[in-house]
Amino acid sequence: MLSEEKEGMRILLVEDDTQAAGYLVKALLEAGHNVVHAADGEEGLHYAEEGGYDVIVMDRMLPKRDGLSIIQLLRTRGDHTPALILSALGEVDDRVVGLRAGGDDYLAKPYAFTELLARVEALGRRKEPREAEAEYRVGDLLLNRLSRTVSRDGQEILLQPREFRLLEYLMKHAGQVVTRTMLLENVWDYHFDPQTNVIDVHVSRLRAKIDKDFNAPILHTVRGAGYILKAEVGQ
Amino acid sequence: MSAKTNEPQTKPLSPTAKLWRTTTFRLSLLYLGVFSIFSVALLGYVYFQTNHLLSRQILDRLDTEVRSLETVASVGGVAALVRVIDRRSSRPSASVYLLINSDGNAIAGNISEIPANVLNRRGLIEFDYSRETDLSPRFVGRRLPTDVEAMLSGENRRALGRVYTLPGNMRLIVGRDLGERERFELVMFRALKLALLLTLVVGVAGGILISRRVLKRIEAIDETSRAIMAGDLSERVPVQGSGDELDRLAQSLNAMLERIETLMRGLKEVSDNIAHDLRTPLTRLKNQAETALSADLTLDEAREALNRTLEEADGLISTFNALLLIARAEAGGAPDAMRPFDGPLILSDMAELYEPVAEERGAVITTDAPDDLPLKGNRELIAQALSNLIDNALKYGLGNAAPRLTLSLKEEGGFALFSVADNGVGIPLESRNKVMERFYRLDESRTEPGSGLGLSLVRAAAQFHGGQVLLDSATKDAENPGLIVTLKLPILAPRLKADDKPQGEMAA
Repeated sequence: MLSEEKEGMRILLVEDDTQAAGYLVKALLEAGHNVVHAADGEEGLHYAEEGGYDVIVMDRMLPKRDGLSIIQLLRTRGDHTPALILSALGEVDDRVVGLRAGGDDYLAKPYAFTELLARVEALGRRKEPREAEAEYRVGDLLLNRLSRTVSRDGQEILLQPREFRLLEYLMKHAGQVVTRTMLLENVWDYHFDPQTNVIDVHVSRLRAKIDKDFNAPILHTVRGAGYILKAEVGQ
Repeated sequence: MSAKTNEPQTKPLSPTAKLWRTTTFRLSLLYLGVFSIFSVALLGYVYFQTNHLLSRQILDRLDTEVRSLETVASVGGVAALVRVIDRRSSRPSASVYLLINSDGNAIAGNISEIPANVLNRRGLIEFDYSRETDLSPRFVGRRLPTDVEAMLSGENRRALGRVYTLPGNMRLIVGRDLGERERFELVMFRALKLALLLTLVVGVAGGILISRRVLKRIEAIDETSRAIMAGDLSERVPVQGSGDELDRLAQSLNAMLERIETLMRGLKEVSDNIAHDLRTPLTRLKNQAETALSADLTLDEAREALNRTLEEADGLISTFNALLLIARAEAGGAPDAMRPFDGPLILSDMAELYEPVAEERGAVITTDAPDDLPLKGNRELIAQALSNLIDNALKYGLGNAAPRLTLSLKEEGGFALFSVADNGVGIPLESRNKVMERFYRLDESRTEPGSGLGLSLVRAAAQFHGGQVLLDSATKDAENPGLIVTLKLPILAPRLKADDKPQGEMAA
């Protein structure tokens, strides 16, 4: 898998396209996760009701029952298993509709598999109570959410507000791969496809502040996927 | 899209059948029916009232007659009565008399024949009779009206009268001829028949005429529709110019057809573009993969080749997504897809997002926006549009020694104007229209990376909001006029629905 987790997650994949499903199942298994596959809406709902999944990957257009209605149903029953919605619809408004129905993340087809994997792993780790922590620590990098201060190896680092939010997000998902679009969504709250490498430059600046003058790099680039914040072994 | 297979199978109708089925014809028949009923009712009312009046008059005369006869009888006895009756009988009047003695013989009066059972009846009665009048000398020779002539010597006449029993077992019948009333009734019936006939004829004729006219116009619309369904989208419904509801319908239909034609053209453009311009990167992709397969590569080299292929594929996906988004956005946004957002905030967000990149390239970004400008629309589309514009400016608009990008937001005449201006070389006037076409690249920039979709997406975003894109020179400088691209969007009336949350609200 992309992230540095010890064990794979249990993923429910509800996708009717046999070829896409086959590919996804194989790729997710190779990434170290356990996958249960349902080929239509009713089967998907049946499995989802059984519960026990870390993440549900739900295609919107399904035979027998459409994906959004399944998620809505789960939510009204109090099931808040994180759900990633896949859609080939391409309407301008789609994402909002999908998230309002109860989805936690939304990915339009065609998508890059690394994008899907990164988002699935990010969703699956929400169970850990990172929200409640006042302080994030990765190696010797410390971020205090209350005082809005950052330090590494005891030295205080001054960050711009946006840089702070960027680091905060990376640290919240420490050990997981974070894609550029995920960063744009969660740090800037926009969802579009920037043509240039705007995100990369922001990350470079952050890296210059938190990594450059220190002995071991914490912020790494994952080629073809995005970035990952993790301490090397021994830090 | 095969329109023919979807056409409902209807039997062709004969012209009369078509006419019969028109709403106007049926409406005419309805009006006809209603009018006829009312005409009959009116005439009926007139008839009964007049009939009643005439009957009353007759009765009054009768009663007067009877009373005077009573006086005569009480004063002069039977003899006087006979004299008076004889005298009155010789006059040309409507009164009829018959005096019968106890033997049943007529001794006075002008009734020549009467049914036998009449004598046994009592009270007010209507009876048939025949009459014979010997006119007194004073009336002989005078010209009398035809109806009076007929009455005076007529057979089978009808009268209204009373039967009286006199002392000595004599019977007296006094009556009034009903000819006048009967004539009136005849006139009334004739009038009624004529009225009904006329109403029917005029109504049906009128109904047919009007229906035919309306039917013709509707058939014209129908024909145009069939032509359109058969594939000719350029056809339009004929408009007569009379401004009535059929014309308005025709105009609405034409406007709808115009829109459909535009959408179809847009669709065709998209598929043309996809076919034409995605082919190259797809071919490149294939070539890379094939090359990697054919050569003897080490594992690392193979991995490298695959990575490059993946990157190429990602680029393709990005282009494809952009194309899809453009196509959808161009179709326009429904009012309920417009959500509230903060105008100036988008501008400052974009400026802040691109600041590092700008700095890398030696450019400065400034913003110019009001403190407050709540708007309604699609925040993501506008952000994407601005991003593309800033992107373009950073790629092509940095010709100046001190490159500067200005993002501005203005409210003007009911429009929100988002602008991105640079101080570079600008775009020549001739090229300005073409740059917004998909995949168009100015010659100078053909080698730059990027799909060439940037500006066409900006235009699609404008169309989505019902606005437009304007290109202009930023300054009057001849060498570096710079380019200012403006996204001009109509400001929609802010009507916040109950569940409308402003976009851009992040969890803390």
